[in-house]
Amino acid sequence: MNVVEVKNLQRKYETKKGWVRPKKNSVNTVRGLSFCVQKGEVFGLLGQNGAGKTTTIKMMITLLAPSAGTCKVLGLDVEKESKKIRKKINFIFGGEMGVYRRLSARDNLLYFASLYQLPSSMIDQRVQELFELVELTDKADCLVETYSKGMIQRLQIARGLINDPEIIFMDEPTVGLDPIGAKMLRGIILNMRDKGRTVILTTHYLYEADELCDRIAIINHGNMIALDTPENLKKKHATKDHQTLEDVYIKLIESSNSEFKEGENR
Amino acid sequence: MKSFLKMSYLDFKGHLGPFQVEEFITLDTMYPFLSLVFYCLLASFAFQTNDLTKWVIGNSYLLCTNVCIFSLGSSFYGERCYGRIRSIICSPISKLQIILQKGFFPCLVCMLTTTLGFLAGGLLFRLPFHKINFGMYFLILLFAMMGACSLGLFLGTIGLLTDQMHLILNTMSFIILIFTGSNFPVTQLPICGRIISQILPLTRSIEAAKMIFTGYDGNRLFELLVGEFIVGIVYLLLARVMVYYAEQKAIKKGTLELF
Repeated sequence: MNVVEVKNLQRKYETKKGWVRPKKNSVNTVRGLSFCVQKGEVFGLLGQNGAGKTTTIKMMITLLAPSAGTCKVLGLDVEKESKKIRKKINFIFGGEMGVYRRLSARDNLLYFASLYQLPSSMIDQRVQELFELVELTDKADCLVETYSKGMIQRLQIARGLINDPEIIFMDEPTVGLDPIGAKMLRGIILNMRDKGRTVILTTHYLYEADELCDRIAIINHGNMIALDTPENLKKKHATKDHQTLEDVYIKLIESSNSEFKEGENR
Repeated sequence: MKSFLKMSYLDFKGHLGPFQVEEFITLDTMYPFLSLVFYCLLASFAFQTNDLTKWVIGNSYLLCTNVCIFSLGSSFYGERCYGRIRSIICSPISKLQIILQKGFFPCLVCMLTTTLGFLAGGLLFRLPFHKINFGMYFLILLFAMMGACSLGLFLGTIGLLTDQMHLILNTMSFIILIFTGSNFPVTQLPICGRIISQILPLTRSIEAAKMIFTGYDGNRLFELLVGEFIVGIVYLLLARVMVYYAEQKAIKKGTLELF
């Protein structure tokens, strides 16, 4: 069963500068992506910086409207039925933004639990479970401004799981995490898959994608250049000397870059 | 209701930090109180009068601008700057509830600040406190602060569309200072000034509060309070419409987190 269906998805950013003779600039970040994600799958979106991964995720979480094409999450259109989608999904973005630094971690989670309208009878229990999951129980009542980068990222993970989402979108979730934290997150992702939850993940760590993802889509300049299981990608594109997913990725990106440049020169 | 109060408190705490008495006294009370003293002294020299009742009342109501205009006015802009706006926009909760919970505790703080300023100003400038019906005073104050907080929330929602909030909030604080009748009688303003005063919160409350010292007509007082209430509701609805508009526009243009 497909929980995400993306067909010919495109996104163009248009900016205008100046009042008298405004200069218009438009950038195509996503240029016709099509893919499906199945229920219970860990789906990886890989690509260079600026390839369109975050833009694609933002369209799937209803934060950005597609310029063209369709995007359905849980069978619902992201533009027309965003309210219904929002109850059932959540997201984790890498980085230190997105939390209240002047609140304790517990207060942060209580606040976000209220945003997702969790029944008050189960909020405290859910928050405690999440602190245990991300191993922040000891520091749960400390102000977030006293947290390290990795601790904030753990809190972001807990925030993203607060409503026990059917699909979780993770945009570089291991940024700032130490090896133990990253291992913990990988455990959480695999545990979610075992529970039948769907995870859509972007990362720059290819060993992580190789270990976690059931299928991987590699995108470059907003186009899909490969979509398959990590094993198949390696089988199809590996050479004698270059056999890891990282080797395959670099080979595909370099070949896509030269095709893109040739296309631009024409 | 319990959940609303809890969320409202967490939002308030998250924006203002661990609430400290010194912070409240210096930032929310002392600084605006000194402004009150300044305007009252200015009025006593300009109008050659010792009866400063009108100015103490008017300026005590302006003590709320620090919280209503500047704190509430920058609330949504802050959510944008600190990357929390995506969690708020992408959550299933009603956006009107978010607006209301952002205004609840600041409204209480404004009532406290105004009352403290009024009492301190009254003692300093020897106001005839025995003439006041304190029940009526608090009723007027409640309506006034609801209206002012609604305006602050409306201004705050503009922060979803622009990064020029300092300009907007400073301009608005001076518009309130000039046009609400706190320092200059509304009747002496030019016609356009009188029109502006009628669409602002506080104008009617300040008139009503002045009436409780000079003796009041019940019908007129009722009219003023209803007027103030309607102005507050209109600004709240405008805030809701603005959040909806900003959300749609930002989702289409991709500008929610851009400046």
